[in-house]
Amino acid sequence: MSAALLLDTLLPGDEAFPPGHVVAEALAAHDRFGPALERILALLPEDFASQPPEARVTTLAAIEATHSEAFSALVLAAYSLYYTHPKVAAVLEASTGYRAGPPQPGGHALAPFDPALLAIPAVRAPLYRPTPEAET
Amino acid sequence: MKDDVVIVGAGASGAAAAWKLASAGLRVTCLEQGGWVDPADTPSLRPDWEIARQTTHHPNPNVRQGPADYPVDDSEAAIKPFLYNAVGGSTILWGAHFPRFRPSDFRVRTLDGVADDWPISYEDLAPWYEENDRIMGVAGLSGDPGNPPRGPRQMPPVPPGVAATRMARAFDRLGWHWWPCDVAINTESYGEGRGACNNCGPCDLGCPQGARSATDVSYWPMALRAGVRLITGARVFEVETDAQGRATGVAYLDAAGQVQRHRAAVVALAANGLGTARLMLLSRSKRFPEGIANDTGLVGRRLMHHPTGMVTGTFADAVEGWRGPFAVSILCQEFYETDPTRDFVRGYQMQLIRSDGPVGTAVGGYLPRVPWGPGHHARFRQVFGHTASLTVTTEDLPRDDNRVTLSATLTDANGIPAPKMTYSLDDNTRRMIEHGIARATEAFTEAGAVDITPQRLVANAGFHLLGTACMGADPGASVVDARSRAHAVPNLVILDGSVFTTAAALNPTSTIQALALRAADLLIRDRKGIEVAA
Ligand SMILES: Cc1cc2nc3c(=O)[nH]c(=O)nc-3n(C[C@H](O)[C@H](O)[C@H](O)COP(=O)(O)OP(=O)(O)OC[C@H]3O[C@@H](n4cnc5c(N)ncnc54)[C@H](O)[C@@H]3O)c2cc1C
Repeated sequence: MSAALLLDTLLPGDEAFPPGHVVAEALAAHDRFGPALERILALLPEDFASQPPEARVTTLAAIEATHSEAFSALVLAAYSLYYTHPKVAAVLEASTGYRAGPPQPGGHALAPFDPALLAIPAVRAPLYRPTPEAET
Repeated sequence: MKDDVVIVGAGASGAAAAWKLASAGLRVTCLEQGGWVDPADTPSLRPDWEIARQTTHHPNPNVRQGPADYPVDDSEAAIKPFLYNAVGGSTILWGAHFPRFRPSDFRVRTLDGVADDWPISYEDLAPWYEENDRIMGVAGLSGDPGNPPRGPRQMPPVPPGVAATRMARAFDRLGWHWWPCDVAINTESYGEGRGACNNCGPCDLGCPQGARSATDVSYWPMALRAGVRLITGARVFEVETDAQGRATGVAYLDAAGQVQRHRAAVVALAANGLGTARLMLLSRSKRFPEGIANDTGLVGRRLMHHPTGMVTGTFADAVEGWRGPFAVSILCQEFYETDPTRDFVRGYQMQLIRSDGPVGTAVGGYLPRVPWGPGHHARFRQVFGHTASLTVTTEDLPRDDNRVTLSATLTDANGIPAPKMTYSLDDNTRRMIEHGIARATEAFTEAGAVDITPQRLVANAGFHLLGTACMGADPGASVVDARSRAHAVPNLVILDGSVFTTAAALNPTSTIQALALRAADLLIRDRKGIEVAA
């Protein structure tokens, strides 16, 4: 419960993006990221769940101020799982044109280089500095 | 039978030298602590590829903690180490930006009165740059007025994409130099079984097309065919010497943790600027109580990086920076050479970096982390796919107190002392970064960015580990000579970036490899006359 609320405070969601608790289970079970969640959960006050949302933000900001490294580790973990979650990927695809999912093997079209772009720099005089060797 | 040469490290430099030496008929063994990385196993084929970037494929060995990695004590280092330990070395993760040094980079004492001249010149090295380009395969365009003429590039340049095109036009309006980067990435099929880039983006995770030229797919197939014996899972912990201080071979731990000894007429170190310094300092003997070839106390000293500032421009419209090789498109060398009207000596390059995937955008890197909490999603929308960055990659002048030593407390999984990096920036570099930030800001303003964010130092940018066994003509003031051979140990050759006399302000790998090929050719030429152990 606290984990879900903690994640929802970090990533509240909006009209398109889901709230952070979508990754609560995956985060708790993750071999590298799980401990980061546990560390911050252990620092939450007992009444965290009953606090109003704005108070939870204040509570987390205070923990961030005193335990910045541990808190950063949690944010990294939460963002990493959140932005690779299928629901979030679907929002990204629908709203940005980004093709979520593995970059390979699909990639993106490799357009040919247009040499016309070089019209100005190509006619500049040499701008590297002469050295004694080059002068001989 | 004893080998002609044993090489430690199968990365960028070790692979190049191994191929060259074996092709000339020498008996060569290469010992590499890592294993092979199968390009077909790259995380970029998996949906969690961005998580791999933060964990198993992180460029910092202290974060990644892979089985072949050794830890690095970076508690007193302003810039964190980035490297990889495997066949292919750090090129397994690299961005493949492939510039050459400029002629002035070899002559900073003569031209600017700082640091030291190299004992060789750009012109001396040029033939090996050409040879290395041909084997690695370079996409680019000759004709850059910022650099001396060079042979035709093997392939046309990578397409710049929306943001770089916009920045190129801004540079033109400002009257500044820019040029498409030379990159070791195939834009057409090139090399053995290596396909063309498909513009996917995260080159650092590996390239299943074989388009990005890491040495496991460029040099190694040729080197193995030429007869090099490559032993993986071999962690070298000492270069052994005889009573006269000549190298006799190396001692290593094999994959089963057993100590093995390998004898060779010549020992060549290619373990990169960190690993080679560590190994030299570990190799103590009666003749060399402070580490092999360390009579001057210079081994490990003069550690240089390329301290990097960064400016990120956010555009109102999407520039789709997730398309295309992340590190390469165009560069600007307008502020590369010393200008007496500025408050610093030497200069910097600006390299355009595309943007990141969703995780990379959220956790930050080019920009600060997207804040958590109520404003998170709005800020994410503003920046995701809307940014490009310019690096301010500066020349780091060598200082004795920037150095690699052996950690007194930290060891690797085999109990071997880990290296410790002690590193800080000097005022010249800080002033250079400030100048670069102001210029990059000007360029983004000209290009129409709506928000411009500078970073004064990117701590996670210790990709280029240089200078820790420096080259020079004077045996009292350098570790290796102009042929990359240790002054104090005639049959010890150093192949990696440790030998850099100065660092230039450019990505070093094409220079590292050209030097390795040159050292190998000179070894082949001189080998009958080299004094070796009995
Ligand atoms: C993320 C990233 C991006 C980069 N991008 C670029 C770029 O765009 N352009 C550029 O020019 N450079 C780039 N670099 C740097 C480039 O990869 C290095 O300059 C280059 O690989 C150095 O070559 P090397 O042979 O000196 O060392 P490496 O390639 O690092 O190889 C050293 C090898 O030695 C092995 N080794 C070390 N110690 C031992 C030991 N005791 N026993 C056995 N084996 C040992 C290691 O396992 C490793 O495989 C990048 C690096 C990283 C990490």
